[in-house]
Amino acid sequence: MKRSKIIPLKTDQLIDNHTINKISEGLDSLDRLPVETPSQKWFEQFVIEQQRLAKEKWRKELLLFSLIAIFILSVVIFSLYQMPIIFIVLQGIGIATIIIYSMIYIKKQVKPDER
Amino acid sequence: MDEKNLIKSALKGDATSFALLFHENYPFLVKYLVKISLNIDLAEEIAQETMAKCMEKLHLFNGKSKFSSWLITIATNVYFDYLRKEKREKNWQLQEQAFRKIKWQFESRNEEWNDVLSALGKLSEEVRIPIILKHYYGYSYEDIGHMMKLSAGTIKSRVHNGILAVRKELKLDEEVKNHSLENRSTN
Repeated sequence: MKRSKIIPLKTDQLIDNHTINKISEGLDSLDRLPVETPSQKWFEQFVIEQQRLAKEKWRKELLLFSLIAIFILSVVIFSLYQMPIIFIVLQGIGIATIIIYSMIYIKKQVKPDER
Repeated sequence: MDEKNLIKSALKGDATSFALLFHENYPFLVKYLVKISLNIDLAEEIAQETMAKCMEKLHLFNGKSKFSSWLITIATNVYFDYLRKEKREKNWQLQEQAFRKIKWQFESRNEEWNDVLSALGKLSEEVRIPIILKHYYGYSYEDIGHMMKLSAGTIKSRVHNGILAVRKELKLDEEVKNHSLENRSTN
């Protein structure tokens, strides 16, 4: 009885090892396909182009951020001097949003511990 | 200049150091991507995206692992992002074409197409990639879990199920049993 249990396990391990060897051989054959590595100069140009794109993206994001900030500040200053009630309501909505968001976040954090 | 110094200079924005790092690691990166995607053109495309991402994230590289390991972690994630996007576009025909192209390249170099590669191609990427990382590159289950943002247990079970699927596809159970039976009869 013991013998019949041990042999299939060994065979199973043997087949697994054989499969892994076959996979390695197959992947080795993929390694033999030629890979054309571009020249050092191509890589330098690629890096310079990526750095230029990153700077451009950063400038765009900074501009967008500044425009949004100016717009929000204008609305706040305008409402503070021209319509103080709207300013107070906006402040109230802001505080309520922060409280509700924090409560939901704390509840989500507590849930895994409850299990 | 060694790798550590190259990384230090690259972090300061030196284009030549970045270029040297990429030039050295490019073949390794593309070969890894060919193995996981079984698509040469896509591997080259993802390699470029990986390098761009690497430039963006180099400040996050802690130097504990090899630079090449960090590079394939990024490449794996870029590849998964591509697959998510591709699923939305349902570009199955292109994938089929790429598979035919790689087969053709094998034949044109007088190399026999491996059935095991077809079997690996039938597996999903979530299973194929851990098998390649574990049994070809020799990473631990923990390392692969870290690379794919999954637990080591999940990776272990995916590798196990993947090996079983390849075994079935190639009918290796029968092959090994017949071989061992032959050995016993000769003994």
